[in-house]
Order: sequence, then C-alpha cells, then structure tokens
Amino acid sequence: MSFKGALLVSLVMVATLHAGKFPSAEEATRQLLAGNTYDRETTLLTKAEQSEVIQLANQKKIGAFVSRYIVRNESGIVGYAYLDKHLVRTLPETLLVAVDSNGALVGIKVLAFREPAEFMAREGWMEQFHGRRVEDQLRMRRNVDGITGATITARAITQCARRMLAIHQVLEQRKKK
Amino acid sequence: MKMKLKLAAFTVCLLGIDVTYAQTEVSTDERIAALEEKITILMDEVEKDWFGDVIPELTEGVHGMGPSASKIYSIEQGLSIGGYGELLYSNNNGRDNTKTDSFDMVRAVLYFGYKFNDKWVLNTEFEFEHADTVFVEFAYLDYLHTEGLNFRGGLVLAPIGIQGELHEPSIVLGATRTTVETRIIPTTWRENGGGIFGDLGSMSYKLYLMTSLDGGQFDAAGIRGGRQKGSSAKAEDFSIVARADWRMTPTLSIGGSLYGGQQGQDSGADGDFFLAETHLTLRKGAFTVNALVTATRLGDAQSLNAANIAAGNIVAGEEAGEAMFGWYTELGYDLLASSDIGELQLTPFVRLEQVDTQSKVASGSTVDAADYDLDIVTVGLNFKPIDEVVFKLEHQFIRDGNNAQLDRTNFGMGYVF
Repeated sequence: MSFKGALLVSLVMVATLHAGKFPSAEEATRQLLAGNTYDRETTLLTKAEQSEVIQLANQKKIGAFVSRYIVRNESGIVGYAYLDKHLVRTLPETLLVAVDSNGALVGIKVLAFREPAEFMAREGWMEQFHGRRVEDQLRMRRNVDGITGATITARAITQCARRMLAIHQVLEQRKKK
Repeated sequence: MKMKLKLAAFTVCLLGIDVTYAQTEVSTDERIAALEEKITILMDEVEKDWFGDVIPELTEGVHGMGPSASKIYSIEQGLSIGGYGELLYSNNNGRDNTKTDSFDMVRAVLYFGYKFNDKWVLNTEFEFEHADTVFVEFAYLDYLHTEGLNFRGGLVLAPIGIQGELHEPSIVLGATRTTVETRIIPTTWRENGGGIFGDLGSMSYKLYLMTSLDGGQFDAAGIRGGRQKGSSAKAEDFSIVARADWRMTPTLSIGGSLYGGQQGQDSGADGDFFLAETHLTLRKGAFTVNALVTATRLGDAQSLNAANIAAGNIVAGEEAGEAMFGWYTELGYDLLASSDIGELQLTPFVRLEQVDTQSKVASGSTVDAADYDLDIVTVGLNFKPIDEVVFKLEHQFIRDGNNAQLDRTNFGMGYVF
C-alpha cells in the first residue's frame, strides 16, 4: 500500500473510532453515577417551591414538572440525575444533570440537540461544572467560562445547571419536612 | 332520666357519625385512588411529551398506547431557523476627512437549516447586503458519518481565520470586522466546493477543495475582489484549504489554516497563490482574547499583473503585491461579569492591528506601497443588554505608511437569533 493510501486508511479508522451518538437518559445516568438501582421518579413542584427555585436560580420562570433518576447502592442514595429540556436558539436541547447525595454537581450529558451541531457544547467545556453547588450561584463569565461561537448554548447550559441545583435543594428540603 | 336520655341520644349521634364515616371511607379512598391514577397518567403523558425521545421505554406502548400512537413523541423537528444582522454608522474624522460618512444596513442574514434525518443536514444562509444586494452566503449539504469523519458539499465558507466562519455581530467585539480579516483574508470568503471535516479527540479539522479566487480581479489592496461567491464561478482552477484547531483547554483554542492553488482562472497567468494563517481564541471568565497572524505569497505576481493591465482590469499603480502580511490581537473584559443582573455585558476592548497588502511589491509594479501599509489601533465599548443584541462604539486610529491620518469613529448595532 502506498504511503498516501495508508494515511487515508488510518485516518478513516481513527475517525470511525470516534463515532459519537447521544446516550439515552438511563445510559447517561449510569455513566455519571455508579449504583445498583436506577429508578425514575416524576414530581410536581408546589407554587411555593417554584418561587424558591426561581429565587435560588435567579430565573424568571420555571416549570412545575420534575423528572429524575434516583440512584442507590447498598448504603443508600448515591445521587440524582435530573432531566431538563430547554430552548437554545429556536430549537431545544435535552440535558441530564447529575447531583450527588452531598448536593454537588457530578456531571452533565447532552441527550438531544436539535440546533446545528456546531453550536453544541463539548464534554470538556462542561467539566467546569463538576463540584459546583447551588451556593455557587453559577453565572456565565462570573464563574463559568464561555464557548467561542456558542454563547447562547453556553448560557442555556449554565442556567440549566443552576436551575437543576436549585430544584435539587428544594426537593431535599421537602424530604426533611 | 333526662340525663340518661341525653347521653343515649349523644351516643346514638356519635354512632351515627361513626356509621356515616364508615360508609364514606370506601368511596373517598376510591376517589383518591382514581385521582392518583389520573395524576400518574397525566405525569406520564407530560414526561413522554418532554422526554419521550431520550427515555425510549416511555414510548414503548405505555398505558395501553400502541407504539405507533406514541411515536409522535419522538418525531424530530427538522427545520432550524436563525439569522443575524448589523448596522454601521461610520464617521471619517481623520486629517483627511473628505471621505463621505456613511450609515449602512451592512447585512441582514437569514439562516435556514433542515435536518432530513440524523445523517443528512442542509445549511443555508441568505444575505441581504447594504439593504439592496442579495447573496446566498452559503448553501451546503452535510453527510454526518461519524464524529471524526463527515462530508460536506455546496457553496461553503472558506474555513480560514477566526471570523471566516464565526462573524455574527454578537461574537465580533468591534463594530467592524478586523481589517486583517477583510483585506488579507477576504471574509466572508465563500466558494463552491466541498470536503471532509470532523473531530479527532481535542482536534477539529476541515479539508476542502474549492473553486479558486479569480486572479483577474486581484489588485493593490489584495485578493478581495477575486471572490467568486459561488456565482457562475470560473472553475478552471481549484484550491485546497486545510484547517485544524486544538482545544488546549475548554476555553483556549489554537489553530491554523493553509490555502493554496492557482488563482489564474484563465486570466492569462497561473496565479500561484499560497496563504497561511494561525490564530488563538480565549474565553476565560470575563476575558476575551483573540489573536491572528497571516501571510500570503502570489508566486507569479508580475505576469498576473501584466495580464490584468492588458485586460484592462487594473491600471499601472494598482498592481497586486507579491506578498501580504498582517496580524492583530484584541482584548476585551466584561465589567458586569461578576454581577447577577440578567445577561447584561459591558465590554471595553482594545485591538492592535497591522495590515500590509504590499509587504513585498511585485517586480515591475509602480504601486505606492506605503498607501497599503496600515497600523490600526481600535478602542471601543461593546454593550449587550441580552446575549442576542449588541451595541458597539469604537474609535479607530489609522495611519498608513505615508503617515496619513485616516481615523474614523464607528457605531454599530447587531442582532442574532
């Protein structure tokens, strides 16, 4: 085989190795939180809980509907993975935001992205959210770095992360009541 | 006796209440159970509506609904719409202020994308320039194979520089695009062609073959006039363009591109042309940093110029240079980054820039090279009330090689959606 041919074949092989598809919600949860059982739960936030989330997340409005996975192992709850769908530009993206039992964000996965792929945030960029908590009051440029050419996506994800941490805190408080 | 009667009556009453309670207990339970079932069904419906596409088991015939009836939840919306536009008021206030000031609807652009399925995607942009000229800015089909290898064909943007592909007014700090990426890299540079692109780990690449520029239109100010913009483009010559970007960290990216090929397009000379460019972008907290350096070489400038003079495209004194060189670096800092008030951004910025489209004058050329050697300092303020709307005010100190003062003040406004 010629040098050029070998180069082309190896390029194609490397490229094929990187085949990337969106994980399903459960696959993503398993990647972010290691446990024995993965149960899905839906709940509705009361009006009072909604205004608490709005205040914690500094957002204008939020929905009442919450869908999440509860991950458990032998010693109890390991964490939760929240599903969130929001608009990016004119089309939505769906994210999964995992929070451990201490209230720290452990990972974000993109489950669906309808805008053109070049506006999508990369996994590396989303690593900066790891360990963040609701008290950090996440905001773009203050404590979250942007993405060149995908500012709107970056802000949507930052707001989503802050919203999910706020919802998590409110639901934890509900348990104590 | 009376007392006993009262007690008996009270007991009966109590018993009565008890009996009544016992009678309704069953039906309340039933009602609550029915209500709970309704709420569960409702919640499942909401969940299916929101997340049916990412939780496959939800749509597998839940609640007696067959797969075909629940399929609607996983239908993907194919059409994507977007756009951007910008207005520019430019006041020429240098020593030579004979140049007319202008207020221009520079461009209004409409983006339409259509995702036929997960593999085939169409991207188009229609541009209205100066409010009266229409262009197709790009129109290409992508075949998305894998993350590392995808195919693209159509009227494509040359993947060169920082602003070549990313030039929405909300991204560009200044009211105008940089002079380097206007004169040397002729943004928006688009030609018919295609190639491959993808991500290999932290590296993104693009490799295209495109119709060459029309060398017959090169002049002293550079190659900008040679853009064929996909309009009945001469296809006697094609050029190769390769680009790679490395994400060193999620916020720091370094890259470069090479463009090469003959640009003669039957103008009477080969027009061997080569352009190289390297760039850096950083978005760290409140900081925005962009830097770029580029150089070009037009191999047979002398014969191309001679052919262009013979054809009447240029006159003596307007000859294209044999080499061009330019660089810029800009820094912005968002003063409102640490606040928590909405999306407000107020970013003062400064840009240093050198552009020389005659860094090596072609043999036989009678051009006054100093006229084409510009030093530009831009200071300005970029204000975004929300991410998608921007207002910009800037002053540009411009000196050419003859030390002529060509300053101007620009006010721009832009939007993106």
